[in-house]
Amino acid sequence: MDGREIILKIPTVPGDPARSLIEGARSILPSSTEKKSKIDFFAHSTTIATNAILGQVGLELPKACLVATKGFRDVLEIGRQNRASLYDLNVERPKPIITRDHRYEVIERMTHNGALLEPLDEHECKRVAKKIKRSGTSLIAISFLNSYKNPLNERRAKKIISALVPRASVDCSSDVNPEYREYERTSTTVVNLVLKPILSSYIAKLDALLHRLAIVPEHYIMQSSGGLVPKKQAIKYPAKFIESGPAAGLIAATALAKDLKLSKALSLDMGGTTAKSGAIISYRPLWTTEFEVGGTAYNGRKIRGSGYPVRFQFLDLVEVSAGGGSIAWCDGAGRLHCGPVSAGAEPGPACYGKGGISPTVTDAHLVLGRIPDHLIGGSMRLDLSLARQSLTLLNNRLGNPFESVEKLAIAIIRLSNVEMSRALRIVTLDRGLDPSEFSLICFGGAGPLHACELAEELSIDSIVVPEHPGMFSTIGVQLSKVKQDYSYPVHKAVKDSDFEYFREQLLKRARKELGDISPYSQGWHLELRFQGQSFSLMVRMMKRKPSLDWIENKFLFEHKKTYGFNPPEAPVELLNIWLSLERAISKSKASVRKSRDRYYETTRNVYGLEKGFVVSRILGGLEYMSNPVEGPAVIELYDSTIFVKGGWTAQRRRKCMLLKRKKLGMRGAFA
Amino acid sequence: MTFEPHDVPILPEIIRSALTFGSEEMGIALRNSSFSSNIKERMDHSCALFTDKAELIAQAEHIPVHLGSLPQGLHDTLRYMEENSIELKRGTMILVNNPYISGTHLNDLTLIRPVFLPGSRQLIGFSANKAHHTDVGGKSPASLSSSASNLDEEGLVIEPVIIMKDDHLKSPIVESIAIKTRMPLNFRGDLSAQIASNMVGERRIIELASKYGQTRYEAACSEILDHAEKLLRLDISRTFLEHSSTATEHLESRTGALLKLRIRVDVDQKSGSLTFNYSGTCPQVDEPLNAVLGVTLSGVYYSVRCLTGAATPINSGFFRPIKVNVPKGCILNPRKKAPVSGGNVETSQRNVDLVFRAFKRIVRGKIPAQSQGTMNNVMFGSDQWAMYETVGGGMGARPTKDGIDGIQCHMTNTLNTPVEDMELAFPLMIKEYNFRQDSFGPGKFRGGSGRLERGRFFQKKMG
Repeated sequence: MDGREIILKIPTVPGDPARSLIEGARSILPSSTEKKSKIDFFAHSTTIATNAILGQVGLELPKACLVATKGFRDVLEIGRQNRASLYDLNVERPKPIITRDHRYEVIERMTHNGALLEPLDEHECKRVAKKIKRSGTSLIAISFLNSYKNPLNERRAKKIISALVPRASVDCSSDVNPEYREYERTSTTVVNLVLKPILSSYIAKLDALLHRLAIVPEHYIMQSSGGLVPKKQAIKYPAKFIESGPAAGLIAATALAKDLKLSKALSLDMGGTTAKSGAIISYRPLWTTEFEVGGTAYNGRKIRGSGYPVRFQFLDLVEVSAGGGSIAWCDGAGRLHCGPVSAGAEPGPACYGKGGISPTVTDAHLVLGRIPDHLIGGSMRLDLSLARQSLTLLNNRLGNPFESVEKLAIAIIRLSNVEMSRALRIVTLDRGLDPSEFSLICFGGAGPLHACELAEELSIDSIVVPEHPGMFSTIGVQLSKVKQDYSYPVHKAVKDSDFEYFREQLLKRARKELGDISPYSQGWHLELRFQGQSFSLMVRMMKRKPSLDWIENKFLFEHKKTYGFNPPEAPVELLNIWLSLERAISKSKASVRKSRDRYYETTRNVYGLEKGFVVSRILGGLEYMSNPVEGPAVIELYDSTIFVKGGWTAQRRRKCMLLKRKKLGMRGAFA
Repeated sequence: MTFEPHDVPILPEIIRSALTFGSEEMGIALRNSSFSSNIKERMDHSCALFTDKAELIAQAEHIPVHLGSLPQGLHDTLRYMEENSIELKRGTMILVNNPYISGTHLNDLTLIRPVFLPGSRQLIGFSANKAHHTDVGGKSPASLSSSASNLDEEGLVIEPVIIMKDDHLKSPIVESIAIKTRMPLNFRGDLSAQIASNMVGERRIIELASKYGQTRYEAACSEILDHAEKLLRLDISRTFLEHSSTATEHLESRTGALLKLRIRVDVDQKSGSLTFNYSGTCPQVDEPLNAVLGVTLSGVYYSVRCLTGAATPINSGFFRPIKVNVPKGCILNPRKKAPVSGGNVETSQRNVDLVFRAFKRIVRGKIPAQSQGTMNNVMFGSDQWAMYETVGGGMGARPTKDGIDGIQCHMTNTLNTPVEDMELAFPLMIKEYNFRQDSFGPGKFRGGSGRLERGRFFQKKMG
């Protein structure tokens, strides 16, 4: 290739994402018929796992069955026994992925400390295997009680069943997720199992199409934990790709934070229907170990019991229902609300002219002059009169409390900012952090429009908007390293833990899967808590061989910082040890950047809360910008628009725009 | 009302949203650093923010049985303080668990923080939370005793007491309480978590009141309450026929089926107001089935909330169109010293069944069949440890679909304790943890099935 960086945005064909991806690649590659192009690095993120769980048409989950300890086959459906909505008399439990008639039981039992109480009843196990064979399912999950402490019975059952059900895919919970709590472990195993055929066929198809197009040495996929995995390993753990897309955004933000030496940064990725936020501390994104796939969010976090828990590493992203498509509406007693319902892409905001009549956040921006009347490089026109009309209608319904549609538009944006600031607050609050100490990295199609106001809401005075904010996630995929994560359940007081032994166990598992692990760098984390607590803290091991005292003191320090107190005399418990192996991929770097932005400079009336319409600078593209831009101004890009509010200055930096707030003292902070 | 011109249609919604989220943040702080499995795992707690006049302004969606009891509890605590001439000062926290003041049962410890603006002596609100401690002493492990015949047998009764002064914990008082519980370590840890939670709530109130100014903040709060009232009145007149309806239900007494305890309600809807009259309900009993007024109110608020629009917020404005009259000395509003531990978990569920039965005649096509009518309390332990949980059961069939199997219904929504957790923590082994097959009521739409749990203990000495 010629070292050019090419960025392209294309719509997905629902039901056939592999084809869309390849079509996109084809349009970039040189169209030579004689020789296939050579691609030396190919990586992608995918939402196919989530879409399958959400029941997208064309992606039905396959039939599977579960073998459980006698007396425990309903654990998978009972879940944590709560309902996902308190006051909804029509509430439903998520449909069990494996129905009761496909859940079998066998006699066996391990005790809580891993002692064999009852060996597997092999005769019964064979009987169950025959039943499974007759039922025609070939996906089999085995999840026994306390198997995380001793996998013996699960392994034995796997052997028997595999022998009797040919070509079956049999997974033991002690292999997939060797951690305590039977429901979460079983759920993780089952979700992972049913996603296997879906991800495998997607990857196989993509790979076949790709090889027809070009020569590719390896093909990588982005995990929810923010690292890449080669395709062969990917199909073993499809549930590790559930948050593949959003993770890429946070990884890109992390790389940018590192470039700019921002040790504390918050990322905000705002698209059409949701906004997602993550925290970056000391150039590392924060992560968690559980996710409720297919669940609904309430105040930023997934409601327990609304989906299916999966316990793998996930970058810690908080999601709120606020996006460019969020609909503004009036309740029965005449008050204005914004979201959580979104107009989506169809019919979309009123100004799209596709039949939407409800005003959205995007309509509000258009009316205020904050976005141009065209989107995506000019290919889509926005109709200002339709936007105004929808707002006028809403104002009427409210009883005309707003003296102009602009005032109503400002109100809508303020409400959506309140919702988004929740996301930013929750990622910091959960760890006892203060958001005002952070820089804000804003991206996604709609993020840079809200950046200044959100920053003011949280008393943040430095904002970073990357180049190509609408396609920033893609850059994250490009910047990622190959990453593999392993965990080992310890469940012992720190002072009784044989640290070296557990460490060897983890390395052994890694070697078994990856072979030589010397090209990888090792990252160790300890999951610690006070004995009796159930929420743990992740402590990064800075030393290669930490003393037990060091571990305890580090935990006490982190706990105090996060929760403001340490209980006296409670012993510290080591829950899990985590190992992350990372390896950089060598690839050629683009030497020439070619942006799809158009370059122009003009003026337009942009509305502000205090002064009404003000003639403001409108700039197209970032490429030739060298002088600082004083707000109010609008910077229009191929894939997004930056609104520089009055009181803010934007300055071009390598790979990004830096927005700084003028010092106003206390009055400014609370204005 | 003193808004600035551009505030009028928007500031109340911004403040309401921020305060609601503030109460959720309190819940996160409480949960993350607590010790009792009831709080950390099962979320048996509630967090709320109040105005300076002790009106509820925002409450996190945690558990319905605390809906009415937290506001009632704050109200009664403040009255107690006034009667006993205890002054509310900056930097204090008040602890209470007397159910006749704080409004649920002894295990629920309520902690209240009066909030003042920095550098001012002006009270601007309260931050308060209530959390279920596994053990507060008394004759049985986990304190909730089915054989108690008066309040003192159910555990330590704490009258409103200042445990924090000038932002310093009064350790002697806390210690004197801690040693009376079976799990002092948990008690101290949970109390620290409750303190942390109230501090988060305080911070949010102060931030908002400073940002928008006290007058605008207060005007917004009063508008928030008026708005909720207006929305609820609309909801009520849309949903309920303008009519009255009566229902009667029974509770099983400890003495078994021989003695049934009657509960009765008359419901009346008139121009957007609902009146509940409980006369005809049996007198209080000397077994722990009495429900204090706060619990009875919670049942009423819960039942009404289930039938209103999703956007209707719960705050003191929501309570205004609902009038509840419960005769003093009856099982749903007992006089002091009657045992009350089961009021939360048994009587409160039957109260919802009763109210829904009365609604059936004045609400069309929305009322479900009755659910399990209990919270299935399970308690066990020894001198050193205690375990408590409630077990989900069958949800009643809905007008258009089946009920759900083995799930938490109505007044509770606490999570279960995982079997592997239980076996790690306690000397027991669970033998079965399934649905109880075919245990549901049949019909065009069937009810949900119940649950079956069997286990074996390895220690002789049990409570």
